[in-house]
Amino acid sequence: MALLLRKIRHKRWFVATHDLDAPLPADPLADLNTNNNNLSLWEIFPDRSNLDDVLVGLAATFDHVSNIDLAIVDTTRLSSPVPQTQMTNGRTTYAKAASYHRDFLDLTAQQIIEFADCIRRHASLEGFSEREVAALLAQAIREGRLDLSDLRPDVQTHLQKKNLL
Amino acid sequence: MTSLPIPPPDSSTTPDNVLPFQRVQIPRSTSATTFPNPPAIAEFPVTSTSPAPRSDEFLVESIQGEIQRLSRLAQDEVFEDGVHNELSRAIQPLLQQYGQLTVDALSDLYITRLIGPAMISEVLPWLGRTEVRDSLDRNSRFWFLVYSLRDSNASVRGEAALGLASLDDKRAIPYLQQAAASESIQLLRRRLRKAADELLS
Repeated sequence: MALLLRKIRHKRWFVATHDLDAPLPADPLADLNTNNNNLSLWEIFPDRSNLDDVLVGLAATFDHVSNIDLAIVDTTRLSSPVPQTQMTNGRTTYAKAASYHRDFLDLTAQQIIEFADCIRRHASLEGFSEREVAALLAQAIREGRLDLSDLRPDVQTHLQKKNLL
Repeated sequence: MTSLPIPPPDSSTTPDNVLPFQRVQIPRSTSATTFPNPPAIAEFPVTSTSPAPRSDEFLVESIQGEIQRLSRLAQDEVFEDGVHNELSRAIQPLLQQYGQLTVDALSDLYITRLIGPAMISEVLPWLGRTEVRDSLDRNSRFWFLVYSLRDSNASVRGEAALGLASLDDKRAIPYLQQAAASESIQLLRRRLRKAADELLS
């Protein structure tokens, strides 16, 4: 079993997940924007032991400290044919997370809609608060896995003001 | 509408014409054990025991104009958590410089629906994230977020929970718990509970 993580905003899924018999609303599609028909995802180990690293990888790209909302999908739930997946380096300054990045390749609009429907029906929708995200970043810095200077100024200031370092 | 000069993000100066004047009567919690009922929405923030000074009214109108302008600019943006946008870049300095007056401006726009739920929901987390100026500023942010927990739009309720968690004000716990108890959307109910639990810890 492989797990794939997509960073989303739960506010776009409140209605979609509330009534699964209703047609899929349009807002969730804003969380599945593709680039060159590819969709950015992160692979999570079945025991989820790399989840914190992926969270740090995502947060390391932030302009400011923020909550992170996620959808984690078991790939066995994907409708067939399963989109082709490729390892690509994630856009993050946190090297440890970059290797967990994946792309769904050459997606069609129909596949995006099917993936959205899969998320609303089967994904584990998890939210990490601003406080939790800040704590993860601070821990990575304290343990020498991440350099403070790799973070944006507002994030650096936030961690310092909260005395997390 | 008069345009409002936006102060730089790290500005700590206070303009002479902005005083922490209590424009609205802020409801107070009665006791630690009694659940305080928030006043009816119509009482906030337009009901005041004394009229606002003309200079404050003028400033609030100017801030409203600026927020409406920013909302129009941002309406085609695809917002993403952790990433700045036109609205977030501007709302922080407005809150830092004008404090409660910015919250007054926002709440007037919210009540009259001159800005829609999509934009209001983007602003709400910043009420918690941005450093507060004083107790009046904190109270007005707090009550605005509490009222937003009752909005008919789920996004507004959800982002209000984020704002209250970031504001780190334990007075929000009973309101978040009550909102969670009456929330029908499971995903949102979890967020409301999590915000309450985080403030409890």
